Amino acid sequence: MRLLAANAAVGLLVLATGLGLVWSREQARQLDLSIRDQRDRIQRLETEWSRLQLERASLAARSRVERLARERFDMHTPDAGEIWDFRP
Amino acid sequence: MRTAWRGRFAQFLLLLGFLGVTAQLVRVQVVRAPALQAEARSQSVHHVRVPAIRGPILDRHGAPLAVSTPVPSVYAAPPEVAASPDQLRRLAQALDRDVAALRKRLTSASPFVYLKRQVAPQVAERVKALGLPGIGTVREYRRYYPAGEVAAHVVGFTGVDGRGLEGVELAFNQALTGRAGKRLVERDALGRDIRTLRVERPVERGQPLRLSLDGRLQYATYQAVKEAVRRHEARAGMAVVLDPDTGEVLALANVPSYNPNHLDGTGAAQRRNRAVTDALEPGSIFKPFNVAAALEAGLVQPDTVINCEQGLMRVGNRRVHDPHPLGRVSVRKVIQKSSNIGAAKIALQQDNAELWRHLRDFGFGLQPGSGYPGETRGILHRPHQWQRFDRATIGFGHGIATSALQMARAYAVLANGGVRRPVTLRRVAAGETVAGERVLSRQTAAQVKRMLNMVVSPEGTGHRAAVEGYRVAGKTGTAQKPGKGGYEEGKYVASFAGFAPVADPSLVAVVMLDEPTEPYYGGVVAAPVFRQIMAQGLRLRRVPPQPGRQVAPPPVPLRQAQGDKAKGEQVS
Repeated sequence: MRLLAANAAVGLLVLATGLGLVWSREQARQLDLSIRDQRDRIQRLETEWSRLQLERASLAARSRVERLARERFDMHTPDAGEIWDFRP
Repeated sequence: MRTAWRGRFAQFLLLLGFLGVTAQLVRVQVVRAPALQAEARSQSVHHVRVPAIRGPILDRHGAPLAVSTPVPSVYAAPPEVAASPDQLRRLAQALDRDVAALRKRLTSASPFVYLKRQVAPQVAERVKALGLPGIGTVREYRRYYPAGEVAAHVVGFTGVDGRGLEGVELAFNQALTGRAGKRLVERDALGRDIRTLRVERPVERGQPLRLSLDGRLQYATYQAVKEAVRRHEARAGMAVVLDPDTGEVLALANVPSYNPNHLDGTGAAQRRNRAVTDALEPGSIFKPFNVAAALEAGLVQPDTVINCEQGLMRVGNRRVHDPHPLGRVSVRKVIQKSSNIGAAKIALQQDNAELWRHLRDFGFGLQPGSGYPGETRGILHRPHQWQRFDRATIGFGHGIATSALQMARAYAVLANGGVRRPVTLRRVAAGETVAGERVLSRQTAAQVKRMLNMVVSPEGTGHRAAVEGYRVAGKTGTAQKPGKGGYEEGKYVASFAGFAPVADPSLVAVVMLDEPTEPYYGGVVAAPVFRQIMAQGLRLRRVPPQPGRQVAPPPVPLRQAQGDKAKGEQVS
């Protein structure tokens, strides 16, 4: 009788750890998937970030800003002699 | 009886069968296990190299000068490729490649070949959509240079593999590169990643690099040089702007330039960073160092009278002459009017070894120390090789050679009161002091400064370098170029070197134009470029103009003007 009970307990434990193994592997798979998703996301964001950086650089290019200031706003770079210091 | 025998026989067969199965099991699971496992792993487990992104190069204010961005490249593993002629045709179409050439690549014996590197994202999508086994895309990085030709020589460029080949990209390649990571990945039969087993080495991104360059001043400098080269039809032009207190290179421009984003069709002539790698005879912009050496040695004073021989002097059997003859004048005037004879006489008063040591102290014959690849140290011969005439010509900047960068560094010594510092392309953090070596007394530096300020006065050769509102010091130079068998008629290097404001110099600048057409004088063609660069530089550095040095009256302040308008008065 006691032998039977012990066997049953061991059997249950084996079943439980078996299920635990399956569960943890599934977890690992899920986590791995999400790591991969995040990595893809990093890559996408990285690509976008560098694209935006380049876009900003080309929009803020000195030559472009200078041209716009000249043509659209009729401005010019102040030459020496056109700069005054009003600090007390 | 017969049934019993049959039963035994069946039993025996079963036993034999089981024994066979067991034996095979043991063989596979135990005996051959290691070999089989290794084989399985090699089919499903792969090492994957994860490329590190190259660090960006930024100007001193953080504006990007070089940025890497991920782009796909199409590769093939030829042994795994099995494409029908039709599929091959479509692949060739997607890649815009010749079918025959593509087939040749695909029959290569190597396990990995690039079919096309750095393609547009749409191209990569089209290739992926074909779904051919053994053909895929990997991520690579492409380098972009937002400043283009403006900062091309300083920044340099990388090859298609991302390694720095020129300029700062090469000089600081290691820090910029970072280190590629390594991952152990399990793959299914179709080559898709199932999971990462282990990160064997994490990716180390390349570090960002902050340069000392000021993007705005760099632009102003490049434009000024470019415009001057165009106007005077010069072969080349260069300019260097330094911070005299830190040795930082704030701007460095060369013309002709090139676009580092499109290298095809550009040659060495455009790519050469002349200001750093080319040594030229400096001519008269060298005179202040000869005079500083004589002052330091106590051989002359600023008001010592030198006889400039009315424009012609003999040294041995050779002659030195002045384009604008002078009589007996002070050392100050020798500099202000740029007399060759005066400078030669001052050099002749000095001892070879002493003069050499002083010139060396200014950094002539030494590398400026920026770490830029191919940095020249110029030519300064050993003093025991100098004949009397050599010493005379060195006095006015011939018989030696320097780069524009070396010259800027030497002028920085005069500007900062006598301390020589290494030149740096990396930004020096605010508050950080750069160690230097005192090579000239404060007093001598101040005396030379005053002389150089006179050069920029209305009577001086450099009056076109004057910047309204500031006291400027500098020196003009017009050096005849050496050619085959002596100096060449009509070929000159026109230059101007100087700093401002005199009292506490904020900027040092050197401008050189190679073979400008007539008028080729440094004071005429190079001084205005210097003026333009200085005016912009002083404004950008917020150096206030000095009161009382302004030529025009200040404009009416806005608030007052509006008030006047309200009263109906005309505002001009």
